[in-house]
Amino acid sequence: LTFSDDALIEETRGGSRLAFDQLMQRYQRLVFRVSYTFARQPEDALDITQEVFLKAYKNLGAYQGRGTFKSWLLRITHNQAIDWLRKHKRHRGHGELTLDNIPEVAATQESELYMHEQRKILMSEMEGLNPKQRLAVSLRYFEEMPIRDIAEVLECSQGVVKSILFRSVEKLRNRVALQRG
Amino acid sequence: MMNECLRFQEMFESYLGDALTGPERESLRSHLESCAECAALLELHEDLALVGRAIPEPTDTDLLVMRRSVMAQITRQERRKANEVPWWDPRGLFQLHPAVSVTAAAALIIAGIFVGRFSVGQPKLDDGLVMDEMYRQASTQKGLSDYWDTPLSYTNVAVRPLRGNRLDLSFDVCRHMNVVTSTDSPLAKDVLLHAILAPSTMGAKMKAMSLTSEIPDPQLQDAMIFTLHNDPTLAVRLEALAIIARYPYDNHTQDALLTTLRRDESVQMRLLALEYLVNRKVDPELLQQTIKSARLESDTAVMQRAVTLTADYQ
Repeated sequence: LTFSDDALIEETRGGSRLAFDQLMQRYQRLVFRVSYTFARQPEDALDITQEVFLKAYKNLGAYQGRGTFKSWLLRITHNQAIDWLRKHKRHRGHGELTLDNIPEVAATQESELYMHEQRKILMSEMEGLNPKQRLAVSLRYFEEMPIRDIAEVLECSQGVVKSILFRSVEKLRNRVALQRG
Repeated sequence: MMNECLRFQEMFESYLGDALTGPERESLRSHLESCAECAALLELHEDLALVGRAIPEPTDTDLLVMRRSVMAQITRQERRKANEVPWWDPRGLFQLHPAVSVTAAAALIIAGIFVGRFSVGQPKLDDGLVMDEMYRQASTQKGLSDYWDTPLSYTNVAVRPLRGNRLDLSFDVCRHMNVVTSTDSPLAKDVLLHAILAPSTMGAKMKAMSLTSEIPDPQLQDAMIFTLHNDPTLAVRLEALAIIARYPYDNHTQDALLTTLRRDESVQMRLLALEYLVNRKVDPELLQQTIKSARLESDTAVMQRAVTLTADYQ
């Protein structure tokens, strides 16, 4: 038996911690992955994830159920990630966000090595995108979310999402081209 | 860049999302065959999906610890908000090793060994609810390997090796649960009973005790009286006394108050019990006999107070 998000939210509002734990279990990996796109370190992504759920619990009364809980949670993630970036900007320059955070692959063939390098470069160049672009790219390409769902998260039209994605990829392409000289 | 390229590039999203019509898809494909720049850009879109697959996955243990930390912070924030007492609150506990927090949490549900030790009978457990919840929670733990992630935790473990590669294991098995149930359910009574009588944290015990005035159950009231007479901590006994004094007044309650007046080592407890009994207009003769039979150091002070208090209604 799987409870809907709304049922779990209702239970949580009624005082059930178990229900909130279920909600966390349902979305913890998504929130972590999106947070990772911003923080680039698993420990920091976990910290952001924790803050996201704390905020969600605290503000559950404000969730009106107009959009999905998932979208609402992703908006909190976005805001929390921006806060995190703001706080850590002073302490962590771009130089420290190295390319080494992507796990090494046992690349036996040249093409695999090339792909691995390509991923490293792309992940690194994500930092050149603004937070909204980064979120859109993360949701679209990493999480394979449909455009209409991303539009709900970003609270804009599907056309605007397409445009954000288009500009983001364009920007990435230019940055990757620069990297390769 | 040609305008035509721009038009096709704007179609990439729909193409990857499989949202193009047949003719649109065909025209895009034929453009890609003739335009290396657009083909490279589409490849970049596809590479991005691979980047997503390279994001490291947190372990189940990392996530479990994260969720526990969230729960612990929520608990702390709510306690702070409610301005509840926190000198006995084991606030650091949930931030310790997860195994410690499992054990602490499991203290809420302990096999009914504690109740059996006292003269309070154990109410029937709401088996269905508990078992459903256990299986449901256990099923969410599939695939976890670390010991603190197992759905059960064990306390009072004793291990004795036997011959022939065998072990004699002796343990209590616990499982942390969180269920919402009505105040009059057997499960609620059972858990409250355990919280009052078992060696749970003082915070849990006090909270459970305070709820007994809202749940008129004879077994819970017996447990309260047992606590009033036997708990080694004065703060707990004081709280129990204050709660029992609010119960409907009957012989049972009166006996409990008289026993406190006669037996409690704390003069504060005796004086309070005396005050409650006087408020109920208990016979002054009975009060004085009770005080005299105590043979405690505080007898004189308590007797003087009894005389003063009962002077009005004599």
